[in-house]
Amino acid sequence: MSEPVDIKRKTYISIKDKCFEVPYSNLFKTEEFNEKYYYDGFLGCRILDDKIEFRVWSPVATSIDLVLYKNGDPSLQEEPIIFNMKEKNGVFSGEVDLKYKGYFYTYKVQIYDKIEEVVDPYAKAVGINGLRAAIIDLEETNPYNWQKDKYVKLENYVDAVIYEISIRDISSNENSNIKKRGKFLGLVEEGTFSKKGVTTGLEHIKELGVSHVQILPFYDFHFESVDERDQFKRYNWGYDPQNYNAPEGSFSLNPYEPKERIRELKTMIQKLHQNNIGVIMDVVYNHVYDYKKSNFEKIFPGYYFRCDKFGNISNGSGCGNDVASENKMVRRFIKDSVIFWAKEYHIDGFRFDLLGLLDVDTINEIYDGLKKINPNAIIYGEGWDLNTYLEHDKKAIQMNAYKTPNIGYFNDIIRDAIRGHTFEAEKKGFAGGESREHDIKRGVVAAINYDESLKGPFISPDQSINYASCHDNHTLWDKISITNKEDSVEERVRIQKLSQAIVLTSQGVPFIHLGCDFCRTKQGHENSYNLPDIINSVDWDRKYEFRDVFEYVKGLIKLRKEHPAFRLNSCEDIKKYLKFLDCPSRTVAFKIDYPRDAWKEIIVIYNSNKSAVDIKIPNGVWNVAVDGRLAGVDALYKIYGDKVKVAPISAMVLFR
Amino acid sequence: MKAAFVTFYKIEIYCEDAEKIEWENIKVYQESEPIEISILNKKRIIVRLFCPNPLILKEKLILV
Repeated sequence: MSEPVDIKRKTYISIKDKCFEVPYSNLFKTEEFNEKYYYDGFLGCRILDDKIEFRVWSPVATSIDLVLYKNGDPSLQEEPIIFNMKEKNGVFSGEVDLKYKGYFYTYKVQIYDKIEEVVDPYAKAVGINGLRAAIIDLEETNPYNWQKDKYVKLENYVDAVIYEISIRDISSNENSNIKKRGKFLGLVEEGTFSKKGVTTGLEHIKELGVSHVQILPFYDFHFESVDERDQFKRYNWGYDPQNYNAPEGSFSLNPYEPKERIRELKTMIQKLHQNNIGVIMDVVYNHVYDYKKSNFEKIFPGYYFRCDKFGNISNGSGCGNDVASENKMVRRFIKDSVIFWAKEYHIDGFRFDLLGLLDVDTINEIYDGLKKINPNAIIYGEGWDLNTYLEHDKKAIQMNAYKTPNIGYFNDIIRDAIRGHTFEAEKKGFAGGESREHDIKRGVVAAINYDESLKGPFISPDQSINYASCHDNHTLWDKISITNKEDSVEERVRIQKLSQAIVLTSQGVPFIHLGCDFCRTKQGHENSYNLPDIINSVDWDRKYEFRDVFEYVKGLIKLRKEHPAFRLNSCEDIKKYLKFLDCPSRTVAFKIDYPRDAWKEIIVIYNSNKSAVDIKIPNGVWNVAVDGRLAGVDALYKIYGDKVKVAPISAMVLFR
Repeated sequence: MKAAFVTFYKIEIYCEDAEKIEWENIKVYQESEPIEISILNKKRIIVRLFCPNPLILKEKLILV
């Protein structure tokens, strides 16, 4: 054999009576492979002036047919129209007449001894349950005045206040009084109030005053998780991607009509933008639902999913597979997908699920691409260090944050310091009365290297996403109800308020979980990803019940937005203007003297003791803007002298 | 015993008892069609598909 190995055929080695397949997965990572097969031209389906063009990349396929259908629903019997595609260097292309616009398509791919019918990974529109791609003109999906829709402005990441929501959870409860429950358009219904008179849905978000919503997955997730034909039959968060570039159909009023779900999603985004609320998309490029059944694996086995040298599949995600972002055409796919969402849907930012499974080059390249189209784009993710077949120094994890200077990471230092250990439910955090002052201080300074004692992984406050709870694990209220079960409801409410005060007065980017502002509960369930709506839906009656907590969080957000001292945007400024004060056990106090703030001196104190404590402060007259009861930007009252009494389990903000 | 392609021309086989392997018993097939190979290193067992490119022979071998 004088030619290189033919990857369109399987290779076997036999040694005596043993015979086994030699996987190509390692070969696919080599420069040699990339030189031969990397492709940067158009992929997917596009409607041109005189034809419709299709291109798909699969160097291992021996043949690919384009299959056209009139219907997007495979349960309807239909004889498809089939066109043979031509290959050039691993790229299969085909073209058909414009009369097929509005049809649906799949590819019939022959690889080795198998023929599989698959959906184009680059599909931008799909039929019911995402089983067939749709040939549409995206221009026709734009709502009225879409061309005037703009990204929200965000000068610095630290100016953002992020609210994590779910399209389904925010409206699925009847007491939301939202008509289009669980739908894209339900999220942006206007003028909605519960029977008890509190605002719900969009009105609630507006009232709270956040700058961005981070929305749980709304790309097309797997139909086995949620059947688009009957949305409320099953519940799922949606961290199981099926078609990365198409919206989920179960959120649409008509999931059978591909253009409709796109139009509704764009309308939702437009309405949020009209209210100056940015949209951050929760994206899950790190794994798919079932890699063996995925379009990626069927189109190019062994390429899209991370393997060790011998073809053993990596499973750092815990979902059975990890996407091989380090492979050049996978990296290209992720970049193309993010840029597509940003351009076509005007998405303002991206939250990467299990970002630590992707590699630093991929996320940096995504940032570079995104910034060219939206300089205000925000990118952050979960930088957990998971057991995946990727070299440690290449992982996009917190410890490598210095390699991704423009990417934010969820800060588990402040999270666990506030609420207690995530995976040991009974362990208390600082807010619950545990002595965790050191880690709270690390959180206050955005986990940067502040001094010899307070060190952290981040090289800028932009990188620290500060939070006390998110969709994962117990809600903050449920966690407090476990760690502080002996405490009264009143005391637990104080812990909830103190927790949010820490998040919103720390340097970095604050992040609030939907309902954390009114003691949301999931009835104690730690992982509700597939539990019914009765567990996951937001109970708006709790907003009425805990309206003082809501008002408190709202006041803290206002405080943060009006005072740049809480949004210092460089390590130098944090080191220069923020100084810690001496204070007793289970308290943290610091002073910010930021010359560009109207308040020339600010003191912030957290007291997690069950008794009031005296804190020594510079002598004089001080205004109180936040105490254990209220929060805002007005002086509630004045104090005099060189010490202040801080109420049990509470925060205080003083200024002059 | 495990094997992996490291280039279009080279397969590495990893096994604990490499020295016991009888080289003439190693055969490589593409589907059912046998292909010509040469053995590069008997201790580490690197099978190399025959290739006219002499540079391949100079590649540093990867340790088992």
